[in-house]
Amino acid sequence: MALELYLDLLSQPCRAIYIFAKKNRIPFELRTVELLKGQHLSDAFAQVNPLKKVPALKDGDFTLTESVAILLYLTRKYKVPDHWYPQDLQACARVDEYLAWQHTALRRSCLRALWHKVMLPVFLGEPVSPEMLATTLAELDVSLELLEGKFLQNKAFLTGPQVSLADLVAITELMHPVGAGCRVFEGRPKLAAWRQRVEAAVGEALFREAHEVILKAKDSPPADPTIKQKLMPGVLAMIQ
Amino acid sequence: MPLELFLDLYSPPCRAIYIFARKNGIPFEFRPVELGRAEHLKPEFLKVNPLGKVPALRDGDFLLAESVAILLYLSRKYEVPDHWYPQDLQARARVDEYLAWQHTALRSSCTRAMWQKMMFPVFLGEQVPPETLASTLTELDRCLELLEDKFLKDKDFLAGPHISVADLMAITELMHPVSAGCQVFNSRPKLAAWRQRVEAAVGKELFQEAHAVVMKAKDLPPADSAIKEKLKPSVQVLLHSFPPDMPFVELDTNLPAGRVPAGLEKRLCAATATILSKPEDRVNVTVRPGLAMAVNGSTDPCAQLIISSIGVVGTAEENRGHSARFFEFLTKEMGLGQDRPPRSQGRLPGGSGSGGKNIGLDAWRPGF
Repeated sequence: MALELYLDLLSQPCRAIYIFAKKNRIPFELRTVELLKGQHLSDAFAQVNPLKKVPALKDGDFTLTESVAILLYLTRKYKVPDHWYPQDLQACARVDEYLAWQHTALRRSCLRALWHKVMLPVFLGEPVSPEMLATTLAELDVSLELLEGKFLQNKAFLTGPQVSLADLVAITELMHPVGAGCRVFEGRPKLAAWRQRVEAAVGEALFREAHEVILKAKDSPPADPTIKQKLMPGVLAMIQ
Repeated sequence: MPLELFLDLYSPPCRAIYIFARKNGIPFEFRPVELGRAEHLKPEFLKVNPLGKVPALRDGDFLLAESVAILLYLSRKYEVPDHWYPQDLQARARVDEYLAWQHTALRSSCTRAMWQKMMFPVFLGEQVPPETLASTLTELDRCLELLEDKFLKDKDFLAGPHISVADLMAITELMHPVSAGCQVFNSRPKLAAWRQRVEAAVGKELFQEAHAVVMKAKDLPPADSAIKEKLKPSVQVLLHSFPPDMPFVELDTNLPAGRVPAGLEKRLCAATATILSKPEDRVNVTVRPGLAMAVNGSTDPCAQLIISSIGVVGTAEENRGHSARFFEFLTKEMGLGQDRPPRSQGRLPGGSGSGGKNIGLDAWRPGF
């Protein structure tokens, strides 16, 4: 049985894995799990991942969750070019440092920006107060400043002169608030230039393909009440 | 210049790194950074880690933050025994999986539990609302279940037959609520047995030494106001319960709108808050009259109540208790008869990931 990747390109970590696998020509079967239809909550998917989250990987009998773990597994198994996760001790540590930091920093603020600005009001019909939205966007600003000031600085890519897993994870995160209509790159020429470099390194066609879904998120038709009720608790836990 | 580790043993990831370095005989200079004196916010330390957090590492010119990154750096540089971060592809993936998951799961609930139960009241002199603490402890419970059921299962250690950095990160996290008096291991024999194994693998003396400071945290003198001011902004976020308690209540009925008492939704809000012990301003109610409904094959007047809430403890008995009280409320409000007691469904969909628990009340008929 071929490698299976359970993904929904609505999700930032899923996009990173999708781009990584395609860019490195890793053969896989795409198993789409549509989050907005609640497919991640089905009994069938629970067989794959009892935590009911995407992304998930299935390689024969071996099942793996957590996007960072999946990216590292693919990196090692398919022996991708060194720059993605360098052998060099310090270069590797820089990638690890970013991958650890982002869980509670950029990931969190990008997720909240999308849901507070667009998905809660438009898709779930739950208004978000202007104060809440303002706080969320301010937090996003702080994360963006750290991204530029601590990680990117004056380098071409986040952790060195070449694109790595860190850049993939970061760029796909940032496309979340972009999908919500936030002007993440405007007024941030350093970040905008870095984005161009990452897109070029990945390939513009692949980048566009991976981001089609998120860029249409704000046009999602409102969820029907049954779906809304199903999704609500999980959404609230996710964006806390 | 030798390797420097900037640590405060109050912090769980610092303990993990301390134990790891000592156990593997890695030579280092211990640079204490006292969190309780806000030393992590001082300019000298910010030069080492601009994120203002411990742990941090300095190896000559090389500065590194983030405990996971530091553990992996040390593993590789000092070529420690394989079991800490195994070469085997799948075994390593299991360690990576745990190290990724814990950031937003165990780490979060252990920190909140310890701070809300102990540090806020004792050290900062701030009372924490009982509902907040209760909610946090429920979330901690949920994480402990996941730790046992998804990660540990029937293995000796989290990622396989031998101890790894995953176990170190986990055990030092769990000692946080233990230091606050939470009974983490008492009713969980599997976890308790795993703890014994980890302590034995690490060495009891080293384990105790690493935890001496946090186990005395409850005896800390209260912080002075200068320190409080400095620390408050960064610890304020730990006051929130996680996840938020927002019960969603939906009442579907085939009674037309005119037959549903005016203001029912507001009173149902208040009743829900009382029955589930949640703040009323977090309760969400939708009343849908005039629906086409058939219950048990009959289209007689009926109503169906569905409640979703994170943090409502979903034992069958508690659900029955809640159901009975909701039934009582609705019977009074809607003039429902009691020709048949409601069956509460107590269904628990959504597993651990979504965290939602449904108490589905079955429909019943009004007595007119």
